[in-house]
Amino acid sequence: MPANISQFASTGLHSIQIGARGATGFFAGFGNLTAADTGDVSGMRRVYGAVTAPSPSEGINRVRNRGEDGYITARVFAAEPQDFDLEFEAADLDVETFLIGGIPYVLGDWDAGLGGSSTRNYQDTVVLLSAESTSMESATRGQSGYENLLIMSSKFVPRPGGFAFQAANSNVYSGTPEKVEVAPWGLTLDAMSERTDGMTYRVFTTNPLTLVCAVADGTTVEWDLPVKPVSAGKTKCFNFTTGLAMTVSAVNTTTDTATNSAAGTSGDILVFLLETTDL
Amino acid sequence: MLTQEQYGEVRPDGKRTQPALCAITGKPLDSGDVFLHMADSPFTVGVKAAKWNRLSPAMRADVKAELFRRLPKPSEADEAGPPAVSELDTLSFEDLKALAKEEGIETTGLRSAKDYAGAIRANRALRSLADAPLGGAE
Repeated sequence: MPANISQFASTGLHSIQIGARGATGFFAGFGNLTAADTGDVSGMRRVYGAVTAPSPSEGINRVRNRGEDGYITARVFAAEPQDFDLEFEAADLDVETFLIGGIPYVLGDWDAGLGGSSTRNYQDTVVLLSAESTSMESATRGQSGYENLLIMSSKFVPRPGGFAFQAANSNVYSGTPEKVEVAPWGLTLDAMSERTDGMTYRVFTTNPLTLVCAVADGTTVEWDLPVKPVSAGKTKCFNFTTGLAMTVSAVNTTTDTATNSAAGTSGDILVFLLETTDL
Repeated sequence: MLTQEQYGEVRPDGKRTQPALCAITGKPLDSGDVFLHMADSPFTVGVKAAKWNRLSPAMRADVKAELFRRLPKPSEADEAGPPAVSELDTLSFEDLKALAKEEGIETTGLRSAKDYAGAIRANRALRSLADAPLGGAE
């Protein structure tokens, strides 16, 4: 398949991944890393059982429910323009505490998630939606891939799941996206797309896309990725702190590492964008 | 001490393995979690992001230091080769038995740590004699 396809049609939601957006707009991983976490690596959390994920762009506020494994419901979900809801059939207490702050209470063998809290500490969140997709370009028509929508900054209000007779429970997170001026990997939107601000980036990939944050320690050039990379060409790295692209000289698909041609200065935030076969 | 599944080690090819379980909660790790590397350590420790992202940078440094403190240390014996003759008296009975077996010593009749240490000393002395160049005129 060619490296780039710009005409495609999606066939169904594949996955929803989330991670933190750091104070200056960098992608901080689900571990919410900071410049102090030198040498550490954190990727995106996949939230399983994804059912609904409308586009946050203006004017598109209705979407059919179509989830993983071809699961389809007859409902149509509506959200206010600009807001969007992520709906899951699978609960994830770690994600809930990530989105609204606090910690789960460890109750013996179990984690207990608190709901209905009035004091919340909303996490600025980077969301990556992927849909199974098919090329519509004449040369590659019918070849499959993934349409990825990166929503660069959102804050979510979880709405506790409903318990229903003969139906899966739902867990709904209502998000409000905000415009940003700097991409999660450090380049300004103006430099990238000649627009001063925006909310989303859309890209077609052969394999699902993901983001990984690593904090440079001044020496490490070979980073352990939490997911399996595909190739050096499909693994990009940026130094958010300097705003410069880095060269990924090699990846190892057996040991899941990416090797940069240089180590960043200690405390620099490095952001990898890569295709992975692990999703 | 952390369990084998809670830390990753350096593989023969020099790459680190990712731990399977969180070093704090013992829960399975996934791609969103945090993998801690220490520049001069051969080990990696994984921590659930839900725990990690609640800690302040100062607390993270403390937790990281504590986790690395709890890692098994690389065996000094493995790095330095077998213990010297002068160190034999400091070894435990079990270590001496293992060492005697390693060096291929006949252990029939040996009962105490002193017996084993003596046998190892004698064996090494014999070996050094055998390895020494022959003296005398050509």
